Amino acid sequence: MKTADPPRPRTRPKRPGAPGAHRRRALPYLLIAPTMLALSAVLGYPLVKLVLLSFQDMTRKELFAGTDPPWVGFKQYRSIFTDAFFWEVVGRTALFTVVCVGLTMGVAMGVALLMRQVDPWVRVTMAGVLVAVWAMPIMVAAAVFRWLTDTDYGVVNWALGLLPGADFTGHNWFANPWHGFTVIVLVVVWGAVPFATITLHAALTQVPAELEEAARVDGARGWQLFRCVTFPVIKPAFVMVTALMAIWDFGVFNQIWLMRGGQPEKEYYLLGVYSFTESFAVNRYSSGAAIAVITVLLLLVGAVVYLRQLLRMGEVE
Amino acid sequence: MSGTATRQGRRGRRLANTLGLLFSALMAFPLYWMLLTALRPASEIRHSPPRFWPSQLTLEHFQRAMETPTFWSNVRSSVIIGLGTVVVSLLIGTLAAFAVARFRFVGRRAFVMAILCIQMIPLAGLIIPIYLLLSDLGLTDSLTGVIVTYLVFMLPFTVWLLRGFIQGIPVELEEAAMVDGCTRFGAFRRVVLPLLAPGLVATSIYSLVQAWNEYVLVYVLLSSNDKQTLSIWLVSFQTSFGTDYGGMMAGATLTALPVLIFFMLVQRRVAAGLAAGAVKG
Amino acid sequence: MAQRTSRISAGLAVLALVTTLAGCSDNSGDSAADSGDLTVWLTVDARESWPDLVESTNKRFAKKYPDVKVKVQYQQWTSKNQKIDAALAGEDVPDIVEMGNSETTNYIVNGAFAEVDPKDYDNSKDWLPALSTACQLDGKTYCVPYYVGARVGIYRTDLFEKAGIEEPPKTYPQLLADLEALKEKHGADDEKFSAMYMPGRYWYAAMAFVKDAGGEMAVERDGRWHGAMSSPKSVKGLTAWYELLDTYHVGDRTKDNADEPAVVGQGHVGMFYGNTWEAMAAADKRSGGNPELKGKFDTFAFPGPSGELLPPFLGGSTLAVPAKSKKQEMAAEWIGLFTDSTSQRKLIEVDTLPNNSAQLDEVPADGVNGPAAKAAERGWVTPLAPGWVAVEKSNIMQEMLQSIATGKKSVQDAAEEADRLIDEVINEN
Repeated sequence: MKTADPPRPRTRPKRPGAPGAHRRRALPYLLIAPTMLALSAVLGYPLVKLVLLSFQDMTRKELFAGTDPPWVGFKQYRSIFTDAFFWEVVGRTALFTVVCVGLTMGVAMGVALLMRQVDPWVRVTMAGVLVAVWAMPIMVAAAVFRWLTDTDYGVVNWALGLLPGADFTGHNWFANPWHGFTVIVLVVVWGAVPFATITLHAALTQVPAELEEAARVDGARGWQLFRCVTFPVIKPAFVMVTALMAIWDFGVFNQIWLMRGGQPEKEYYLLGVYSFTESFAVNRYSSGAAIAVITVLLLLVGAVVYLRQLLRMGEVE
Repeated sequence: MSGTATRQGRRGRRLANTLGLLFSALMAFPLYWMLLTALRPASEIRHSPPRFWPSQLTLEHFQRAMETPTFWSNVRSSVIIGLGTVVVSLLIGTLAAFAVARFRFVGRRAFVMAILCIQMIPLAGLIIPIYLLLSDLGLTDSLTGVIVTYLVFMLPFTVWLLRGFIQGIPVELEEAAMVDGCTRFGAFRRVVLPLLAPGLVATSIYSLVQAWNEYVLVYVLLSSNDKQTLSIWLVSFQTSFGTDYGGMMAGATLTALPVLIFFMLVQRRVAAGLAAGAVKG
Repeated sequence: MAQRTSRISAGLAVLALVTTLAGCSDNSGDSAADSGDLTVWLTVDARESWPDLVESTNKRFAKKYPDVKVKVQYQQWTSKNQKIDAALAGEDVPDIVEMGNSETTNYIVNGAFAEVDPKDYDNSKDWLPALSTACQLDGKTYCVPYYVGARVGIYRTDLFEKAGIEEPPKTYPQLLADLEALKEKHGADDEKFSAMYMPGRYWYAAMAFVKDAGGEMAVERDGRWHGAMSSPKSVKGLTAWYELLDTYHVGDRTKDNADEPAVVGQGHVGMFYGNTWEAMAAADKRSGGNPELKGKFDTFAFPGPSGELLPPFLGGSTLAVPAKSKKQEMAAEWIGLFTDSTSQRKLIEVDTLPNNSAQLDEVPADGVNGPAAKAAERGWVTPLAPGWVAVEKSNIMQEMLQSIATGKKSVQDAAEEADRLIDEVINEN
């Protein structure tokens, strides 16, 4: 992959759009118009609806009849916030996100660095595998992992049983949520590592060789070299990938839903699943909507730091 | 590496190679298991202790999967939806990315913020409102409706990535072209677009994978069996009689194959592309 | 009003967008509501087990309405309701939907379906109560019974023979004795052998024991529903179920019965409790079964601890016409053809039980479904409470059973917890 890197101009971009360079005021608005239009048209109405819904009390009756559900103010939010189970789910979601993001980024960084050290043919193998994993539908990944961890016929139980002193015959991975989440974290990390690794590896190819060489001459080694020379260059990419991973993992739904056969136990609820079951299984559409709104708000709070950093990196003006 | 590799360096490289291959093997194992299940006779699928090598290979699962009545029409839907989403989101996204990267305008910051925040919205919560909207427009059970919906979920990331790429292209090149008599659009087409190619490819991969694999929304939006996509088709291997693992894994292989091929074809550009986009943050 | 206009303006914006896109994407979707089509949503069972019936119904329908195209679209059980919810909220609804008999009440209470006249349908006087009561509210009928299934005991004839058992058990003590013999004979050299396969989340089986002991899942008092799992009778039934599972089931206790045929097909199961078609599925490759076991299964009416037959859950389907459908009469006629005596006979031919008691007699007593037809007389249905779907969807029963089966909680504790959870949702629409 590295060999394939085309020679690219090393010139850093000048500050975007130097003042006075573009006089036609309307042009940028015209350019973003289609995007804005698409977003506001297709997403705007559903979003407004979602927020409104969280202040109402919608049941199937109103849903089917198309009548307006009664307004209940903050009732949904009040009952959610006073529910201990909700906070349990929030805590679980946060922990899940931290673990997944930490593991993904740790593995991806390590592998990306490793890819610089190996022979070309090994690198191509690694890249091929990463790409193949990336292209795997979640639905398939979940089915394969369920199959691998099957209680009676799973390879994992069999392989662990080979360890001395361990008996995993008939071990059920989902009876204990800690074990179950181990498997789910594995699926999520497995699926996320390719994107993170490829991006980080690509970013690493941008680190000027002279820079590292110079540092090495100055006596920098291993960790020090990485921390002081390499990492600062790839930091923007690292921050971006971390943030995306956090957003995706915080709202994770498919993996859990599929791994638990569309009927997740309460111990397996994360915010995304909770919101969905409230809406579609229990038909408390408003409560589900409120949970979705809270999820976004929680993410926003967590993202403020990240957003400020990104905006600073992107808009040094 | 330079020609005079020390012994230590060689040992380090061997260790790195071993680690790299080990990692590849671990990552690839689920894929191998999928292929193996797809290719071995049904009677061997549930066998304990598991066998890591098939006693004989068979294509019966693939045959059964491809003989499903709706297979080819589902392939068609997937292709239309995948390509439609990718093409349109690139088209619209490039314009917006160009605006954000090259112009300063009032509301730019807000626009960037909005783009970032949209990624946080949980899709599941929006299913019914989106359905109602499309239903008012007569776009339910229509591929266009699905493309439009996917579009808004792909656009933010598309704009974000492409923005980074465009920033990576020196603005002087464009200015030079305009001095030489090109129009603004001409400069964009002749100078920016060719340099943007890797970025476009990288971005298209991302959108394609997302569009190809999504199934919650598409299930609710499309009800005709022959309009549904391959990801819905895969679910049909879970019947009320039980799961046909052989057929499902064969189907999964078939589903992943087109994306994989596309990926392999463009992977060189993807690596370069993601680098540029990512580094420029 | 304001909402309406915003929706329209949003709509116009999308339309503008779509027209600009039209050149890029192939739009093969025209909406069904405006065309002359009749849209029918059946579950995948029809496609898998009686495709001929669907075809012949369409042919007969076409004789009367040659210009109407019937579009049959098959849905998965697991995700169909969320799709139906979305569809019923909009204007472009299917004209006929299939509903499980434990799902109908909530939709009927919320006005989703149009009323039907039972007199228009064959055998409506003899409709099985398990199905027809699920279709009624305040004396009116909102859906049409389609078919039922009842669970029976299914055993491996060859394994029985090897263990020296000559015929299937007729009483519960005899059943236990047979299981003991199976366990002794085959359990010694096969550590995965289950004399009785009874996964922990298999709530239809566990509730059959509750019903057999005279217990209930939920009861209505003064117009409100309450969970009744912790009543002494229910607990007695649950305990009998747990003892059977604990003694004779080997393997995963946290599964449900979804992959039962595949597991049974592995050959490590002597007996199980299931729908009659599962015996065939266990020998069918498509469901992960093993073709070598073909012909080695037989069915029997499962005796319960009470001394009577274990009352089976009558799981079945009904067909309803959404209130928003614009072709209600045509839809009713299609349902009429699809469920008349001729059609029901076709169902019996593929080993499914008919929707009426008159035709239950047509089920051959010595066939695989004979025991099921016999047991069906004692069949039961889930409580007809508006929130019962929510109870099922939030897996309250399954989780209670799982904690009992895995020994996490005592029967009494788990049942009390379940009652608390049931009370929370069962009265909600």
